[in-house]
Amino acid sequence: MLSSRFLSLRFHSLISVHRACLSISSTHHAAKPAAPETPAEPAAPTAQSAQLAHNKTKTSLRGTPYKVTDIETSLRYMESDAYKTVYGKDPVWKNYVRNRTNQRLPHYTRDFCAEEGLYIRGNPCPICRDEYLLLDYRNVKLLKQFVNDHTGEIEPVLKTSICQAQLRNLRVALRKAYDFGLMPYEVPFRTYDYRDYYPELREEKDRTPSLLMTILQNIQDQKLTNLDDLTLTDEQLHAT
Amino acid sequence: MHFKIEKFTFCFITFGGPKTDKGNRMFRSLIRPSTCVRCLISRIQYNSTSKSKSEVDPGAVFIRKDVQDLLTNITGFDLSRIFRTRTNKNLDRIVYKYLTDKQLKEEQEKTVERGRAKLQIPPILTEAKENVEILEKDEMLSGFSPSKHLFIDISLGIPIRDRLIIARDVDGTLRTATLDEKRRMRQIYFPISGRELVMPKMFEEEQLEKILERCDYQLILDRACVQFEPDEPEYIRVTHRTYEHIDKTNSYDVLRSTRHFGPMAFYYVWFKKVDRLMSDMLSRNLINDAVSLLQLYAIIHPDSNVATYEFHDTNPHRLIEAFIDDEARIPDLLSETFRQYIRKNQQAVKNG
Repeated sequence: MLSSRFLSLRFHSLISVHRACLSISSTHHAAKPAAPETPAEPAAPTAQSAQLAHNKTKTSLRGTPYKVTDIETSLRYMESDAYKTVYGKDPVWKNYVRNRTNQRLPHYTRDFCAEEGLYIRGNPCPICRDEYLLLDYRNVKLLKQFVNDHTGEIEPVLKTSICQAQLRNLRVALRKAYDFGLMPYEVPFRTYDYRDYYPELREEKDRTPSLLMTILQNIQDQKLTNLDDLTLTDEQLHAT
Repeated sequence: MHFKIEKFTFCFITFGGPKTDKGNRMFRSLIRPSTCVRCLISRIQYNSTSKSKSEVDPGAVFIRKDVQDLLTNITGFDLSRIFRTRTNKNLDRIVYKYLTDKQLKEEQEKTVERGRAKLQIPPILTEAKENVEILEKDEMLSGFSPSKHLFIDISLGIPIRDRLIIARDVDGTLRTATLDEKRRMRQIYFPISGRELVMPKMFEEEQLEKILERCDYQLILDRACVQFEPDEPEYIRVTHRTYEHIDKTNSYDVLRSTRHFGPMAFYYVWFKKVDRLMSDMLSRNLINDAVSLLQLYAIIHPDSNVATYEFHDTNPHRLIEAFIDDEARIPDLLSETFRQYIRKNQQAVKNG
């Protein structure tokens, strides 16, 4: 199972699941001498044969199933030893490296890492690669890793490299967390004008009628039926 | 969740604007010969609060100058608390300036002014009552539209709470809007940043309890100030619940040097739950604050014994002893903390 393979490897110095598997399997092969069952091959393994053997053992996440767990398991996972061994104190996206096709990374990430329950990428994004990470409004510890401490905004995707589908989930989860009050944020300051709430503080000149009411009043006084006939004197206009 | 689909239209009449027939018809439906425009104007000008018959209005007491001064005294003024580090979307570079002594003084005064502005006390009002007035009934108009129409006055330069908001129901009655309709219309046409149209789930009872357990009082109270008006029943419920929780856990210090300390102290004094707050003040050697609390008590409850004390001449110790004898609900706690305070004072005097 992917998770067991995950837990047995230390990720602090290694780059990704994919390459971690590769590096371990290649060291295994380098340690073993040429197997005695194949006497036709030369005694020392050449670079080419090593490469061919390595190609046969290549494992890719593509096509393997991706089933996210429910929220309770995810919450337990965030506190567990397994989480600490894999990620330590770093955020979840810290040790992830994107693959480049050019020299520069594009400013957007892939659309999604899994389709119909199977991975479609060999190098899924930091959230999709771990089936126990669920972006949910209750999972505040995970949500906080994607929010900048200083600005309070969502970290740019160039930094965190999550796929667009997970970014949408993150935005929804953050909005819900703010709504439920689980995630702290800076509430804008509201200045009150006491005169709105305590009429006794108002002076005479503050009580100006609105433009609409002057118009309606004039129409009633002059008994107009058409708006074209409406005329307002300058004092009435300036009073509003 | 079901939303009633109501048509929101606004009546904005420009003179010199399009002279459509439709405009004239809509206009005439709003105001008829029978409606008295002057009555409308006088009704909306002073529609903010309504007093309950047998009780005193806390707003009238709150707005008195001496009450305001007392509350600002109690709140304290700790600059490091007022200007704590907050997240900031527009991060600027740090600016270094060379200033003379005089300029430095000016900058410090400006900072003090900004701090005072941040400590503005949210208004305290009675709960607003629904007063829907039917302006006219017209059966001929019934069924003119599948939904009711709401109108709001968007002329310039009027406070938001004074605006005229009127509804024309499906059966033709023209009436002033209910409180809920008013709140929604105001938020749509004159939005306040940070306010939601639907009440956030954190103010529902179960969610509120969870946040109170975390002791995150500032978030609740700040957000309540933004989300609700001070006379809404939801605001009163949320703030009262928070103050009760703070009272139980004795965590008054969380709100010191914030704008919420004033309303909290006012709540305790109004409902005569002063004892724990006073013992907290005594244990922190804030004897002047304790005396200010007593003065507040005298103003709010003029028919109690506390109103007969003389606050200018007597020793503060005497005042507190008198209060413990007269009106304290938990006299044991208060006397215990008072004794400890006196002991601390005497030791400090001995040490020099």
